[in-house]
Amino acid sequence: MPTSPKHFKDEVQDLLDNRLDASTRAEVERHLETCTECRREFEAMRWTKSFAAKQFAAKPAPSELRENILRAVEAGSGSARRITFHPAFKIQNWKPILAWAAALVVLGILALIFIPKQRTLPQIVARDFRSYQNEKLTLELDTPNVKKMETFFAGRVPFTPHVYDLSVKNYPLVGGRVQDLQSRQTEWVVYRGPNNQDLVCQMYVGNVSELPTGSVERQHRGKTFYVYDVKGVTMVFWQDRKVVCVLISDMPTESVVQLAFAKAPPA
Amino acid sequence: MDALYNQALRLTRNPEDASDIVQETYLRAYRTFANFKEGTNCKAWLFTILYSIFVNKYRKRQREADTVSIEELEQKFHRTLADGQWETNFVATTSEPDWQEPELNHAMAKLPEDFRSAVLLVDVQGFTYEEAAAALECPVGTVRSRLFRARRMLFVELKDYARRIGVIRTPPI
Repeated sequence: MPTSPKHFKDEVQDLLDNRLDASTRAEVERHLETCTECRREFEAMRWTKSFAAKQFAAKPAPSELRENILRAVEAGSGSARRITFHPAFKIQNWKPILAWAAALVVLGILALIFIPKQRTLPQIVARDFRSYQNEKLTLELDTPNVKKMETFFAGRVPFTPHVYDLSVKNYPLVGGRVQDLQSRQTEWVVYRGPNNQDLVCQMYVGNVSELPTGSVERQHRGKTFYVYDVKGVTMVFWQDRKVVCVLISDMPTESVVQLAFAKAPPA
Repeated sequence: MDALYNQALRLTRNPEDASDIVQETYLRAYRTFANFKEGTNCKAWLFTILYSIFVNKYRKRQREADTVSIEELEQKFHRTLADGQWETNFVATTSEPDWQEPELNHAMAKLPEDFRSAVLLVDVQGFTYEEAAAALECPVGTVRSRLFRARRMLFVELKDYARRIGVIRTPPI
């Protein structure tokens, strides 16, 4: 141990910073008991150390700094790669770049939220079906009477309304509404199955050629049926003169297909 | 983050520069996170980045002449130390409201930057000498000697200030 003949200067500091092994520590402490000069020095340094710790302890960073950093890190993850590729190119002033990047990120998020997704026709049909199940889409007329339902649609849809009577198949009518489908007024009627399943029949003026690819085509009595499945919702489309009919349900696919086969008029 | 900001503030003495440095520290940490060795002290690592950003960007324009003579400092320190009474009065006043922040900052700001960094890292942030040495990119022995002198200077400054505001009385002689 480096001992000065008189005092322990370095050791006083090491004692203060807890850097001495046990035996040296004991020795220095013994020395401090007898040497006023070293003890005063030790006390002064101890006071200074604790004073600094207390008085210069962290004062809170400005609240906007945290947000700036989060934004910058988010934006910086993209620009960082660009810089790695061009080590000679050094950006001196980050502020405007970060601000622009942050603005772009915000715009992107807003766009994702507010610009509606381009949905295909079956996707819209399936969404409307789910909306009804979630009680976001309500019926304009509640009736088990097919004739009353047809009278309701008369003049409200641009074709001669027709409502299938499925009660013999154990699907009594619940009611219906005029539903918008890509700016078309459509007939939209709801049946309830024997096990409380929801079944919807939708009719609109159009052509099955507008349907997107991805369907399973089924033939029955010379007629083509286009079967789609979107997230558990089965849709069976067919053409009936100028009107497209579609049966929609979350029942097993084959049950919906068989109902369509049963009700659609032959070609 | 508060600790980083504080360190930056005491290094730059300017809130805007401090915010910039902290922001850049986080960005650089984020980009170079792969370099961070798991199990090592994350805080120390962040301070190392902070310090290197500070040195590269800011120190050039405010480098202080390190004109502190050790002999002079020792003399001053021992004069102050010998100037009795502080043990009884001074110690009890550590958290007195009489201590005004601007004055304290001034006392700290009077230290040369290298000294100030050593005190801030070891005494305020609780770093070991080794961690501080890594952050300041200097040998451990240098941290020790800077700390040694820095505390003495700070003590002289603070005691001076304490006497001026009457926290301790001037000795009768």
